[in-house]
Amino acid sequence: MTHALSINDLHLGVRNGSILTPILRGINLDLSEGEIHGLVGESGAGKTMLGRVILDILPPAAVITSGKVKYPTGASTHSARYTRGKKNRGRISLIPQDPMTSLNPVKRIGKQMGEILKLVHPDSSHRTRKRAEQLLREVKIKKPEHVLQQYPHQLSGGMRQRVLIAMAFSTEPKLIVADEPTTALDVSVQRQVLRLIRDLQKNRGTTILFVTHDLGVVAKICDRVSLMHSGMILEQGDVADVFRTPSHRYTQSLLEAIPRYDRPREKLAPVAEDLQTELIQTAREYDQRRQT
Amino acid sequence: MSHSYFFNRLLLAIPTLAGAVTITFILLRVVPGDPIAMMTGPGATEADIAQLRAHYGLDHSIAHQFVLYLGQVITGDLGTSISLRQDVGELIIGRLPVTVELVLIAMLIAASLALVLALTGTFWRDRWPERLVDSFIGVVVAIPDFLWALSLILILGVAIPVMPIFGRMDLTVSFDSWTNFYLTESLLRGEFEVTRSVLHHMVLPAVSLALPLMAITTRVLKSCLNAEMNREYVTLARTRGFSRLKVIYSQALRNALVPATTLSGVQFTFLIGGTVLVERIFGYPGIGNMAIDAVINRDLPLIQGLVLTFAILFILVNLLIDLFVTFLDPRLRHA
Repeated sequence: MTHALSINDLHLGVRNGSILTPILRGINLDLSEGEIHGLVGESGAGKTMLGRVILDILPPAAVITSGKVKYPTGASTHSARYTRGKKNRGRISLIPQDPMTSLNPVKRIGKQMGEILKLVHPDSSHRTRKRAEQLLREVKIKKPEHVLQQYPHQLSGGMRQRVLIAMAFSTEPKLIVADEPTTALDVSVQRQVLRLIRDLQKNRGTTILFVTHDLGVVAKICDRVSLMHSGMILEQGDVADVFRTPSHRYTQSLLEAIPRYDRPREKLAPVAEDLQTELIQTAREYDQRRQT
Repeated sequence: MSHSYFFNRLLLAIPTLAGAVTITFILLRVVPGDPIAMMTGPGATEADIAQLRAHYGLDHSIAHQFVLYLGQVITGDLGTSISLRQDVGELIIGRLPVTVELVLIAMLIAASLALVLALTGTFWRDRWPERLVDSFIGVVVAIPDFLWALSLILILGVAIPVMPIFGRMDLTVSFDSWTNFYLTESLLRGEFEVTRSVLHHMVLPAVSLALPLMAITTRVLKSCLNAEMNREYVTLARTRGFSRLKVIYSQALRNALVPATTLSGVQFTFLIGGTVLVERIFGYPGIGNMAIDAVINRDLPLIQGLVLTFAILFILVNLLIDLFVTFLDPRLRHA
């Protein structure tokens, strides 16, 4: 099976003066073509940083200390700033977390979509516009010609996220990083947006790395899943297998923590504190072993 | 956005103007100095002085004078200058174009330099060009306009005398202006010799006025740009493969201009204040220079007229800036 992306023993740290704080510790991740891969972890686990490595938009302070990211295009090396440029243009898209801040507030939707479409595929303004309308129709926006005339602040959060999804798919990318795309939306809109992403993905055979901290979402749309903590992947596998027979204690305790109708409880079960400390301890020991 | 918004803004200008009129009137009566004593010689008799006082309406009580003055202002009559014995309105209209052209050129210089410097600093963030811009701005912002004026005179007027340092244009050039907007009018009438001379004389005063304004605008614009560069929509543009330069000018710049322009509108006050000293230093015949003469001569009607003019200029410029900002940011239009 061909890989849409393969990450090999990736280590990344953030430099602060002379101190290098490790963020990602030996990440191995292969994305098969056409799969939706869930990347789950709590805040600070390094999910977002991993997504940024793939998109090549690392902050200047972040340094890849070892390991490799291989794209299907052949490009593989990485440094911090704007290296992707034209080489990977349009090949990897991002569906962002917050639809409210992810559109340029001073430009009409049509203009913003046109800029992206023209970047990958220079064409007449008229045809670009038709193409943008078509894309909006695909994300189930009614009256697309009207929406193209509007500014972001005139649209609701759900609408903006649809526009952003249309933008992400507009360049016909092989791979999309979806960075908690439903976190900022309410539950009913969330479901529509998830279905939309899945439908578009199925039609086009796009590979998606779906970053989230919601196991329910993972169960709904992902094929495979990786669980992260302290910059390490603790468990990886098919969603069905991981949910049925979790092998890592952290996964077990996360699944335990989900409230269920069939097993009502007085209190919600948190992830045990000693497990948290243990995981952090493991990460520290890992760093020490690497240094020696 | 609506016409009613700007109509409201214009209405709001009325209390501002009323405040400016009232405060200058009161201040001028509180400070020591007697305009009549300034204009009469030592041999004037009591009767002469009393007659002059009555002539200029200074024999009434202050409250009465104020009411009379207000009535005049509303009908557009700013009174008669005591020292120049001419209508204040006409005097100001005659000199205003000189200052307006100078200030506009200064703003143009400040804005374009600020734009270039802020973009340079943002593009090469955390590298030597940004540090260079920062230190340059740090020096420029610390030196006030009149000191720039004096230094520029010493350097480019005296040490290396390449720039004229006095007046509005060469005495050898004659220009019979209808409007007193020498620059605009000479351009329109095709008298480019005059344009050249006027511009040549404008360089030093305009640069002196522009430098401090440029420094502050650069700082604000650069920090606004840096803030925009960290926003989500810019990150997204980066993932799509826009070049860094393109991200800055086609995505971040317009957003950053909104707060930066608003702030430079506030800075306009300092620019007007600057014209008073800078015009004096360069013997530039604008209203700033006139204001100093008016104060020296305790020419109450003229001072009042000038303050009112400054207030109107300030309000107009800020109204224009508001218009420009609403043009930049659609959210302000639909609010």
